[in-house]
Amino acid sequence: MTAQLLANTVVGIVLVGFLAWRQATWRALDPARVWRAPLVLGVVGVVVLAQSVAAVTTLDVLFLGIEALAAVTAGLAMGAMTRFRTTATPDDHGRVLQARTGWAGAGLWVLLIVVRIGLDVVGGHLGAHLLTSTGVVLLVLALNRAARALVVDQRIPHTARGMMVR
Amino acid sequence: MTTGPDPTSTAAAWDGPVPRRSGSATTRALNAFGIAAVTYWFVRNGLTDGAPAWVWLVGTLALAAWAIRVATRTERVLFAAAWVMVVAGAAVVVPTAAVTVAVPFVGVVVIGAGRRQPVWAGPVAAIVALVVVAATAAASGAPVGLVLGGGAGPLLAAVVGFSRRQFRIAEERTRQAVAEQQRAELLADRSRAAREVHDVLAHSLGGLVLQLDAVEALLEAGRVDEATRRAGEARALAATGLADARRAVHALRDDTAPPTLTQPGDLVGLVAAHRSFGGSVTTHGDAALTTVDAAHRRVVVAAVREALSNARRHAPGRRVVLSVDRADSAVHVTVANPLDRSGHARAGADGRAGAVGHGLVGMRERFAELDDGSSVTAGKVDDAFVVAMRVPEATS
Repeated sequence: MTAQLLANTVVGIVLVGFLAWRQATWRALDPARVWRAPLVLGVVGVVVLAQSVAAVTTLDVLFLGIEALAAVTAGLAMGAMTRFRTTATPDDHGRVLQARTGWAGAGLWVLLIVVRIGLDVVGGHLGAHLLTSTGVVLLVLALNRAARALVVDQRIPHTARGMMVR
Repeated sequence: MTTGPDPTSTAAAWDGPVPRRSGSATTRALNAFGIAAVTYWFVRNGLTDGAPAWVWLVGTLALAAWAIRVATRTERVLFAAAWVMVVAGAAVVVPTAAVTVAVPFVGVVVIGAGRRQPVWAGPVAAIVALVVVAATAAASGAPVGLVLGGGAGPLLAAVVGFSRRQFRIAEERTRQAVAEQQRAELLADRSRAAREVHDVLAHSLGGLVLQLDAVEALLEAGRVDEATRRAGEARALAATGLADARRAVHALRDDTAPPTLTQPGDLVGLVAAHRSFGGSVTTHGDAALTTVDAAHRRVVVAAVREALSNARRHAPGRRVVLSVDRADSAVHVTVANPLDRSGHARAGADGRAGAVGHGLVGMRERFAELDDGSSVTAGKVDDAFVVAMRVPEATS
C-alpha cells in the first residue's frame, strides 16, 4: 500500500465517520431549508457531469439506476428514522427545532457508502466507468438527501413549523 | 414543497373501494383503447420478430395487469396491478422496441397519483422501471438510446403522477372547505332558531309559572276573586305565547324575517309586563329608546326581556333597576337586580336554573351579529347581577 493510497483511505474513513457522527447527534433543523442541500448538490452534480461525460453506455445507465435506487431507499429510511425535538433556547440563527437520525441512520449511511463502493468496483470491471465521476457522486448524494428531505418535510411536527425566534 | 398529508394505509382503507377512481367513462374508454392498441402492436411485432417465450409471458402479464387496473374496485388490487405494470411492462420495453413503454408509464402515473400512497412511491417506481429497462438492455446489448428513451418515459410519468396527486389533494381540500362552510351555516341557522324559540317560550312560560304560583297562593289565602283575575291573566298570557310560538315556527320554516311577537316590543311594555307578573322595577332615562334605530332597538328589547325574565326567576321579589343613558354618541342600557340572598342563581318554580345560560348566549350572539361596536356584558357586580348594553345612537 502506497503512502498516497493510505492517506486517501484515512481521509475517506475520517470523512465517512464525521458524516455518520453528524447523523447520530442532534443538529438544528430549519424546516424552510430542508430542500436547499439536495437542490444545490443536484445542480452542481448535473453541471459537473455535463462537462465531464464523453459517452454514456447502457451499463452506465444500469448502474446509475441501481445506485439511485439504493440512495433513495437509504434516504427514505433515514427520513423515517429521524427524530425531532425543540430546545428551550434558540441557537445563533434563531432555530429551536433539532433533528437527528440516530446511530441506526449513521450505520445506514456507512452501508450506503459500502454498497456504492461495491457497485463502483463491479461496474468498473464490467465497463461502467461513469460511476466514479464526481458528478455522479454528487447526484447520488443529492438523491439521498432529497429522499430524506421528502420524508422529513412531511414528518416535521406541525407545532414546530415556523418556530424561528427571529 | 407541499406534498399533502401522510397517507393512511389502514387495512380498512386498503380493502375499501377506490375513491373516485377511474369512474368516468372517458377514462375507462381511453384505457381500453390503450390496452387494445398496445396489445395489437405487441402481438404483431412479436409474431414478425419471433419474440422469445418469456417476452410473450411477461408482456401478457403486464397487459393483463393493465386490464385488471381498469376493472378493479379495490385500492389494494389497483396498486398491486400498477406495480406489476411497472416491473413487467419495463422488462419488455427493450425486447418489443419500446412498443410497450405505455404500460410502465401508466403504472407509474397510477402509483404517483394515489393519494393514499406515500409521495415517494411514484419516483421510486420510475427508478425501478429505469433499472429494469437498463438491465434488459444490458443483457441483450441494446443501444443506449433505446434505454434512455424507454427510461425517460417512466421518469416523465412520475412528474405527471405527482401533478395529478397534487390536483386531487387540492380538490379534496376544496370539498372539505365547502363542507365546513355548510356546517358553519347550518350551526348559525340552528343558533338563530334556538334564540327565537327561547325568546318566545322563556318569556311566556316563565310568566305563566309566576302567574300560576300567584293563583295558588291567592287560593290558599281564600282570595278567590283575585285568584280568578290572575287565572284569567295567565290564560291570556298562555294564549299569547302559543300564538307567538306558532308565528315563530312559521317564520323559521319559511325562512322569513324574525317573527313579530305579540309580546311587548319596547322597554315600556316590558316594564309593564314585569310588574304584571309581580315584579318590581325602577326605570331611569328614555325607556322608549327614541334615539335608537329599529334594528338596535329589537336587539336591546330582546336582551332586556331576557334580563327581566332571569331576574323574576332567580331573584324573585327583588327590585330591578333599568336605566337608559346617552353618552359618547351611544346609548347605554343597564338592567341590575340584587342577587338572591344566597348569592347564587336560584332555580325557579319551573326548576330551570341551568336554562339561563341559553338566554345569555343568545343575547351575546345578537349583539355580535350587529358587528358595529355594539356590546353586551352580563355578570356579577358587587351584590348585583348586571346586564349592560351599549348601542350606537341613531343618526337623524
